[in-house]
Amino acid sequence: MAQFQRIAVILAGEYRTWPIASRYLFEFFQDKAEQVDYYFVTWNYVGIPQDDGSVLAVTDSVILQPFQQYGKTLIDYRILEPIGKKAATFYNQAYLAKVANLLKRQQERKEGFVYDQVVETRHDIFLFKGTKATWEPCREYEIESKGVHDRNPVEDGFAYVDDFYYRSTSFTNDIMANRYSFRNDVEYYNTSKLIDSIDRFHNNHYLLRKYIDLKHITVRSQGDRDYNTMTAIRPNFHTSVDFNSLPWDQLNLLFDRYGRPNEEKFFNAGSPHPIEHH
Amino acid sequence: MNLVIATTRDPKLYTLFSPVEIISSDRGFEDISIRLDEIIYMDRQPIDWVMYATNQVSEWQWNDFLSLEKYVPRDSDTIYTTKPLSEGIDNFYCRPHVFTLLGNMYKIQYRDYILGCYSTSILSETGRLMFYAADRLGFKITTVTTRGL
Repeated sequence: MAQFQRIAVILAGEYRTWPIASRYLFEFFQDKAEQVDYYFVTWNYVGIPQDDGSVLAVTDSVILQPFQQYGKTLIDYRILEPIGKKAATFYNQAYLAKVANLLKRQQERKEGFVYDQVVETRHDIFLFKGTKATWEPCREYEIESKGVHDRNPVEDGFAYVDDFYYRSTSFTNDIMANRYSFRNDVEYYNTSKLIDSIDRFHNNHYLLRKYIDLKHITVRSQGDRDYNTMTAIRPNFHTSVDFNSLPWDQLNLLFDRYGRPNEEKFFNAGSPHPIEHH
Repeated sequence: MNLVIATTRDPKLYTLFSPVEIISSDRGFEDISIRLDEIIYMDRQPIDWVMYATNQVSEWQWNDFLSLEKYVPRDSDTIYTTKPLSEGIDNFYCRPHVFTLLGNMYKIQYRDYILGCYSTSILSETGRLMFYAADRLGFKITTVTTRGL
C-alpha cells in the first residue's frame, strides 16, 4: 500500500525536454501515493531554439503523448501566452506555478478533498535517486527542497533556495504559488554591494528565498531523501541509455557542456534584455 | 481602480464602485478566491483590490478608504476593515493575493486546534482564521478610521 492516498505533481516551466524527462518523472512519483495527479503548465513556445535560432510552438499533442504512453493521470494543463516579463525567471516561473496551483485548487474544490502532499517541479528535471524510497510528510509551512544555501561567500553572502523542486502540504503550496504577487524591494539591494549586479536583483533563487523568509516557511533540505540531487535535462543528453544507470557526474558534465549560440538568452535568468522571439 | 466585490447583498448596491465583477459571497471564501484568481491569471484582468461586503458601503466609508489606498503597495498584506474584527466580519478590503490565502485556509492541518486557540464568544470561525492568518502569515489587520464616528 502506498504511503499517501492522493498527491499532486505540478509540472510548471518552460517547455524544453519533456519527451525525455517524462519517463523518469513518472517513474519517480509512481509509488508515492495510491493516486498521483499531474498538472502541466507551460508557455506556448519551446524554450530551446532550433540551430537556426527559430522557435517551435508547443502543441497539445507533445504534452499529452507521454501521459498517454505511460498511462498517467493528467488532471489539467494549460499552454499560455507569455506574460511579457521574459527576462525575469522568477516571475515567469511564478506565473506558471500560480496557474497550475489554480488548476489544483479547482480540482480540490470540485471533488471536495485536499491533497496529502503537493510537489512543484519542472518538466525538464531528472532526479537522482537517494537512499530512501519514502517521503517524510511535510508539515504545514514547511517545504522539502534540495538546496538551501546560507551565507555562501561564493554567492556574495546572500541566502538562496533552489527552485527546481519542492514538496509541501497543499496549503503551503498555495502560499508558495502566491509568490507572483511578491514585489522585490529595490532598497534592500541598494544597501548591499550587489547594486552593480542586475543578476542578483532578478535571480530567482534569491527572490524565492526572500519570499520564503517573509512567509516564515521553513526549508527541510538535510537528511535522507528519495533523491540526492537533480539536473535539468538538456537536448545533448544521450537518450539511448538509462539515466538511472549513469553516475551523477556524467550527466552533470553533459549539462555543463551544453551550449548553443542561442542558449544564453533563453537560459540566462539574469539577462537584462528581453527575449526577442515574439 | 480595478475592484472585485464579494457580497451576499443585492449587487445593485455596489454598482457605484464600477467593479470588474461582483461575486456572490454565498460561495464562501474558498470559491471566491478561485474565481478571483481565474479573473487575474486566466482572464488576465489585473485586479487591485477585493472588497468583501456584508453591509452597504456608504460613500464616506468608500472615500475614507480611497484616501489611503493609493499609498498601499501592491504586495501589501494588510486587511482593511471597517469595524474591528473582534466585533464580527463586516466590510473589509484587501489585495487579491491576501484573499487568495484566506480562501485556502480551510485546508490547514490542525484546523480545529487552531480555531480553539483563538476561541472567544465573540469571534466567528472566519474571524478566528483571519486572526490566525495575521499571526502566522504576517498579515496586518487595520480598521480604517472613519469620519462617520
